[in-house]
Amino acid sequence: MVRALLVAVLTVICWAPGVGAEEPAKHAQWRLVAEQVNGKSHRAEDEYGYEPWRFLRTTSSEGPVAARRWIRDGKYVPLDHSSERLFNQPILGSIYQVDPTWKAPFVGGVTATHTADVTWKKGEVLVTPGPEHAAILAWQSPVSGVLAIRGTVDNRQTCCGVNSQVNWYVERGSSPDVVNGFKPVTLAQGISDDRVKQGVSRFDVLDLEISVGDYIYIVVDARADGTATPHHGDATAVDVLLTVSGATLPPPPTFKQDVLPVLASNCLECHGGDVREADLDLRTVSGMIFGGESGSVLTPGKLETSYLWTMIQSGQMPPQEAGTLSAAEKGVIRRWISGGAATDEDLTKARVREFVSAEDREYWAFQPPRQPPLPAIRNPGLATSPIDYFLLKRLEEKGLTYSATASRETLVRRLAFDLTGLPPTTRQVDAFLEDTSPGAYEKLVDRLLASPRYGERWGRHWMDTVGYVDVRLYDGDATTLYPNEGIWRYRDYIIRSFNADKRYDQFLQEQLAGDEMVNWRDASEWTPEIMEKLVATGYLRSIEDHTSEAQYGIERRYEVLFDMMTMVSTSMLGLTFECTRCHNHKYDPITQRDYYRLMSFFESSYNPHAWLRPQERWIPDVGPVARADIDRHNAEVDGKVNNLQSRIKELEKDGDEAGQVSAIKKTVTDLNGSKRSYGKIQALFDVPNPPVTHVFRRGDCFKRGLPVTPGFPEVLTPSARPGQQLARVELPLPPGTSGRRLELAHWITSRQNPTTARVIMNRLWFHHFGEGIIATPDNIGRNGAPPSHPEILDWMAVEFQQGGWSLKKMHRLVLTSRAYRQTSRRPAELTRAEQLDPDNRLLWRQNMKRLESEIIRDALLAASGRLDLHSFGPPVPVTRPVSGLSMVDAEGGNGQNRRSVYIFARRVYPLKFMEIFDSPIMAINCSRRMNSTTVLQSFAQLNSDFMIGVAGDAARRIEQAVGNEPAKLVRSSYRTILGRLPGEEEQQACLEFLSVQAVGYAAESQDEKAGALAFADLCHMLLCMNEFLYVE
Amino acid sequence: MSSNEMNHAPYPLSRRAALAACSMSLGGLAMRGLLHAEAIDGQRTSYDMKPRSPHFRPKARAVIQLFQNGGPSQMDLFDPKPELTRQAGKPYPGAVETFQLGNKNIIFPTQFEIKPHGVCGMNFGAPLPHMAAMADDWCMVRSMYTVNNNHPFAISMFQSGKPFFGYPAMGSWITYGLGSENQDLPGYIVLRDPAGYNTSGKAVWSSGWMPALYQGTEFNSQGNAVHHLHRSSRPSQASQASQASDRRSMQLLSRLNRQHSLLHPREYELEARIANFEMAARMQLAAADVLDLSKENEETRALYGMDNPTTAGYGTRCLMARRLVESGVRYVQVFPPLNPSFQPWDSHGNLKNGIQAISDRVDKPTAALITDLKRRGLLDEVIVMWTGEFGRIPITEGSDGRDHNRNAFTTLMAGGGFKPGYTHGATDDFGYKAIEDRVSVPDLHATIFRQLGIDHTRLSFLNKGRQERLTDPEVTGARVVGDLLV
Repeated sequence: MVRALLVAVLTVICWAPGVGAEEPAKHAQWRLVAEQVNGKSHRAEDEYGYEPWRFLRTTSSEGPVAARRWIRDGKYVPLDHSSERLFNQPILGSIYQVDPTWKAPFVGGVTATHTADVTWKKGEVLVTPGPEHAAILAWQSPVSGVLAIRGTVDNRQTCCGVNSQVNWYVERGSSPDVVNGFKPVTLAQGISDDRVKQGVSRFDVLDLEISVGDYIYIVVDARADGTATPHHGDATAVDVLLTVSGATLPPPPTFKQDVLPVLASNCLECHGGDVREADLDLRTVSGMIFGGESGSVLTPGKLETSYLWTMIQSGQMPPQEAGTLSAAEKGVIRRWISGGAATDEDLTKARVREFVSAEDREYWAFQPPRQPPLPAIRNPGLATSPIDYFLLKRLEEKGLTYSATASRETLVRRLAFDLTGLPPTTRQVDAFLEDTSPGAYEKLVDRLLASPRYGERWGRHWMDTVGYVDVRLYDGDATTLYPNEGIWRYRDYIIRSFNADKRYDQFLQEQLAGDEMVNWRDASEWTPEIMEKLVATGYLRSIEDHTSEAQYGIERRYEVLFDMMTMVSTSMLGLTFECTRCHNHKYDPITQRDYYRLMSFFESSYNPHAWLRPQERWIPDVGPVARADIDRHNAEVDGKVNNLQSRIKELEKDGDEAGQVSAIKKTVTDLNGSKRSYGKIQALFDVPNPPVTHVFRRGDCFKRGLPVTPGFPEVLTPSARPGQQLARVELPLPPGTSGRRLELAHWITSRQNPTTARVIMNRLWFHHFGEGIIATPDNIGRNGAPPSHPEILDWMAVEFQQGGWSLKKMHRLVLTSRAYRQTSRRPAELTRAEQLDPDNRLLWRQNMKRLESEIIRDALLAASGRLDLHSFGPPVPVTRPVSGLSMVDAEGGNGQNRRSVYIFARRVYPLKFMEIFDSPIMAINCSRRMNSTTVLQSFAQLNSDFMIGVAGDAARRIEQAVGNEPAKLVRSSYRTILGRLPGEEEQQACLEFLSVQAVGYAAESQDEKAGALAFADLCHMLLCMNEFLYVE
Repeated sequence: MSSNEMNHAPYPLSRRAALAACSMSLGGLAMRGLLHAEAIDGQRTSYDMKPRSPHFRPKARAVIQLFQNGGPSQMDLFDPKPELTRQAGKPYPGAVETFQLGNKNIIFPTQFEIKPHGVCGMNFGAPLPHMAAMADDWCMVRSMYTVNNNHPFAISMFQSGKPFFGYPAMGSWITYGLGSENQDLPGYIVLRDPAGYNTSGKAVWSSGWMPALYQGTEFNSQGNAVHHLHRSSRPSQASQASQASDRRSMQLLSRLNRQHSLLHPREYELEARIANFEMAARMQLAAADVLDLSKENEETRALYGMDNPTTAGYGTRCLMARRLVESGVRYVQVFPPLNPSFQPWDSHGNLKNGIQAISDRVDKPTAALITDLKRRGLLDEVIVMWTGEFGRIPITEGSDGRDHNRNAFTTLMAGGGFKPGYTHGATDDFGYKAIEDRVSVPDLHATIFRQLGIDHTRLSFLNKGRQERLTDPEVTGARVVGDLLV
C-alpha cells in the first residue's frame, strides 16, 4: 500500500559526489523508507553523505486529557534517553507482542514482517504518538532549491474505539527549539483512521522554495476530539519522498582544507600532540587509521565502522563541556569519510593498532595445554600418582620432601568430607580401619566417588561458580520471597550430572546451549533428553534480573547481560572480564571489543530489544501434548464445577430442603482436587531477531560505539590477525534458534581453548588441597595469582581432555597421590620446609581446611542422627522472620533435616546459621568462599536453638546405643562426633566434666536428669570443637 | 617463561596469601599481644578489628549515620524555593526525569513553611523544629546529587559507592581501615526498627567481598542485642547455677581445644577461635552493659523522646548509638521507623501527611543525639550524618506527591570537624538540579574519610584483580570537599 503508492520509482541520482567544484543538480531526492531501511544505516544517512532525518517529539501537552489540545508551538525535542530504547534502533515488528511496557512515542524502521492484529512489513517506518507527546519526523534540507513533498500516513491500529485515530500535519519551520519554540507553517494536515477503512492519508505539497537548513516536519499526534480519552500508541506507517529541483551541492571535503581545521579547533587539544587521551592522535589520517584504545577510528568510505564518526554523530565527542560541532562541521567530517577520506598523505605504511601481540599469546595459560613428560625424581618410591613426580621434583630442588602420611582415621575423614561433604559413619571408619588389604585406600576412594552424596558435594561447588539461587530478582527484602519457580530442576541436573560423571565438555555445552542441541520447538512430548537439555540452560538463569517491573528501561536489561558475562567468564573461562566492559584490560590482553563480541553470543536469547521479563522466560515441564491434555482436563473440571455451583446457588435459593448442597459441595472439592497442573523449566532460549551488538563507551549502554559480531577473545584464538576468528563449526541446528550459544559452547569446550580444562582442574585441586595451583579460581590469566605448578595444571588438563573429560578419573589421580595423603600437621619446631615455604605452596604437607557453611550444618545433622538423605525436588522452605533469624521451616513439610544443598537458596538471606559461617551473598556468583572467624560464629555454636537441638539429639542417640555408663558415653561420643576415640587425657577430662556437671545440675534439683543434661553439654562442647569444624 | 621464573614474578601476594590462610580474628591477635596500632597501609597478614593508625591526623574517630531512606523532600524541608509556590500549578519549563509513570509536568508547591533558624540562618521546614533548633551545629549540603533514581540502586550508591549491591558498605571500609577501639564489641553496628528491615535490608550493611568481620552487626533494641547472644531458652539473665554450668562447659571446651591446638602448631586460626569463645563471654557482659539504657537518667531519656510512644523507638536507637560510640565503636548506622512505611520518606502521594508523620518520629531524637553528644564533649570527635539516598522533583505525582530525584538532595552533617552553621551549594530555582558547588556521593565519602584520617585514594582492597576503593576516584572524580570542613 504505502510502497505501492509512492513508487514514483526512485530516480537515478543525478549528482555524483567527489567530482570537482560546485555543480548544479537537476534534482536530488530523499525517500524516508528507502533511506531508513535500505541497509545503509539507521542513522538516516542519505546518498549524498548528509544526515537530513531527525526523530523528535513535542515537549508537552496541556489541559485535561478529555479536551487535550496538542501544543503546536514548535517546541520539538529530539528523542533522548527517556525514550532512548526507541531512538536510532532497529524496531522489531513484534514489539507489542513481547513487551507491552515500551512506551510511545517512538519512531523506527521495521526489521521483520509482522502479521497479527496489526500488520506491517519489513522496511516500513513506524511512527507512534504517545499520550502526551506527538511523534515527529523532521527533515533538514541540505540543499537549496524548489521542493516537492509527497507522502502517506497510514494508521494501522484498528482497535480501541472512537479516538483510535491520529492527527497528522506537514509543517515547515526553523530548527527544533525546546525552549522558545516557533510558529511552524502548516502545509497540509488530516486525520488517519483505519477504523473506518479510510486509514491511508496522502499529501502532496509542490513548488516550495527551500534553503539549506530549512526544516520540514511530519507530525503524528494521538487524536482527541473532546468526546473521549485519546488512544495513544497507534502504529502508524509513514513514508515521504522529498524532491529538490535545481539543487546545488557542495564539493567533497579534503583533509587539509576542510577536515583538519574542524579537528584542530575541536579535537586536537585532547587527541593530538602531547596530550593523547585514549592514546589517540587525530593529527594525521594514518593516526586515525592506527587508532586509540578502542582500535582504529577511521575506515575510509565506511561511516559505520569509523569510530570517529560514531562518536561525533552520537554527540559523545567532543564532550559537552568542550562545546559541540555545528551541523555544517559534522557534515564536513561525514562527507569526508563517506567519500573515501581523501588526503594527500602517504598511507601505504598506515596500519591498524594491534591489541594482542605475539608475546601476549605466548603467556602459558593462553596457549593450548601440552602434556609435559613426568620429570625424573630422586625418590620415585614416594610417588603413587603421576602428580607426585611434579610435586616431588619441585620439593627436591629445594632439598625438601613430603611430610609423613596421615593416620587412617584422618584419611577416612578427609576423604569423606572432600568427596561427600559428610563425616564418615562409624561403620565406614571401622570398615576402613579393619581393611588391611593392599588396595583398601583406593577402594575407599571408589566407594565414596560412587556415593550419591558425591554429586551433592561437588554439585554445590559448581552451584557456587554459577551463583545458583532459588529466587529471581534481587532479594532485597528479608521477609518477601520471589521464587524462581522450577529452577531447582537445574540444581538436580547439576547433582545428577556429577553423580553420573557426565563428560565435562558435554556438561558445559548443555548448560550454555542445551536448547540448541535438541528440537524441542517441534516436539510433541518432552523426551528425557529434551527435558535434560532444557533444564541445563538454567545455568544462565540464576542472574539477578530487575526487569519484571515496568519502570525499568533498557539499561536494566543490559545489567542482566553484564552480570551474566561475569558469571560465564569466571565460571567457565577463568578470566576476569568485568574491567573490559568499560575499557581495555590493563593487565591481560583482553579488549573491550572482546567483551562485547562475547556478549553478542547471548543477545539472541537475552535480547534487550525483544526482552522477555523473568516471569515470562520459562517453558512448561511437560510437552505440548501433555500440556494440552492437562488444560483440557482442567477445563472439563471447571465446566463441571461451574454447573454444580449454579446448582448450589439454585438449591440455596430454594431452601435446599433435601439437604443436597453439602454433598454437591464435597463433589466440587473433589473435582477441584482432581485438577492437574504442570511446573516450570527455567530455561534460556532464543527469541527472534538478534540485535546488532555495539561496544559501549565506558560500559554505558546509552553510549554506543562500533558494532561487533559474536566472537571469541582474540588472545585465546590462534589467529594473529585481529578480528579473525576460529573457523566456524558447522553444527546441525534445530529450527527456531540462531546457534550462537552452541557455537560458543563448542569453542569453550574445544581442545584449542586454552583455559577451560585448566580452570576446572584448578578448582578440583583447590577443593582437595585447600588452595589452587592458581589461587584465583576465577582468573587464571596474567592478572590472576601466579601458578605454583603450571606444569601440573597442564599435565592434568591434557589428561582430562584425553581421558574423556571424566572428573572422577581426575579425582582418583589426585586422591591416590602421596601428596594428598600427607599429614597437615607441622612439628612443634620450625622445620626447614616451613622456613623456606611458610605458605606451603610446594605442598610439603596437606592443608587444614575449615568446612563450608553447608557442610558444617550437614555434619551437625549427621552427628545428631537426624540427617535426612532424600535427594532432589523443590527446595525445603525457610522462614523469613523480621528478626532475620531465618530457620528451616518446620511447618513447611518434613524436609527440615535434609542436606543444605536442598534448602531454599536466597541471594541475600542465606539460612542464618549458614550465613554466619560465610555462606556468600550471591550478588553474581562466588569464586571462592570467604572464611571468616568471628565471634558471631562462637555465639551461634554456643547458643543457637539449632546447635542445642542437635547436641541434645546426639546425646540421646548415643545414650540409647551404649547406655549411661560415663566411660562408654565419652568413648562413643568421640567416635560419633569426631570419628575417633578419645586420648587418655581427653577421656579423663570428659569424665571429670561429666561428674562435676552432673553434681551441679543435681544441686539445681534436677536429680533424675542431671546425668543426661551433663552428657548433652559434653556433646554440645564436642560439636563446638575446632576439630569438628576443620578437616586435617 | 619458565614456571620457575613465574613463581618469582612480583605479585602482591600478601593479601591473597592472607585470604588463603583464612582470617584471624581480633581475639587471636589480642592473645598474641598485638594490640598496638598498626599502620593502615601496613601489610595485612590477617583481618582483624584492632585499631590502626590512619593516613592523616584524624579529626573524628567515629561515625553515626542516621539513614533516612526513601528520599526526603529537599524543597519541603531544607531548600526554600519561592518559584515553586509562585508558579504552583503551572507547567514546568523543561523536561524532568521521572521514575514512576504517574507524573504530570505541573509544578507542585512547597508544602511546608521553610525559614531560617539559629544565628547562622540555616533553613528548616516546619516539620523539623527540634533539628532546626540545632541549626548552628549542622553543616547542610544542599547540592548533593547521585547516579540513579531508584531506591535499591541509589541506596547502594550511598552506602557502598556503587549503584549495585555486592560491594562493601562505607562502614565496612572504615572498620577495615581503622579497626575499632572496643575489642569487646563489633566495630560496625546497625540499629534498625525491631519490626523489620528497611529497603534493601541487610544488603545495605554488607561487607561484599570483604571478610564478614567487617559487615554491620545488627544490634537489637529488644531481646537479644546480638543474634544468639543468649540461648532462647534463657532470654537474658541466666541463673547463677546455669552460669556455673556454662562456665564449666566453656572450661572443658577450652581445654579440649587447646589440646587440639597443640597438635597443630602455628594454625593461628584455631587460636583465634579459642579466643573468640572467650570474647563471646566478655561480649555478653559488654553488650548488656552498653545497651542498658536504665543507666540513663530521666532527663536524658526524655530528651530522646523515650517517654513518648511516637518517638520512643527511634529515640531508643539514637541513645543506643550514643552509648556505642561512647564505648569506642567505630561506625553506627541507625535506620528510621517502619511506620509509616519501610521507606518512610518516599513521598509519592499524600506528601504532606507522610512527611509530617515520619518527621514526628525522627526529629526530636535526632536533635537529642546532637545535644547529648555536644554536652558530653563527643561531638568534636563523632561525625553525625542525616541523609536519604536521593531527593524529590518539583513536579506533581498523582495529585499530591513528588517522584524520585537523583539530581539534587540535601544531606546534613554535624560534628567531627564539619563546619557548623554552614550551608553549602545551591540548586536551581525549582530545586530540581544541584547547580552550585555540586557534591557527589563519592565526594562526601572522600570528605568523611578525610575527617577520619583516611586517604580515600589509598585505602584499597584487592578483589578480582582490581585494587578496589570506596570512592574509585579515577572513575568518579571523587575529591575531598574542603569547604565543608572547619
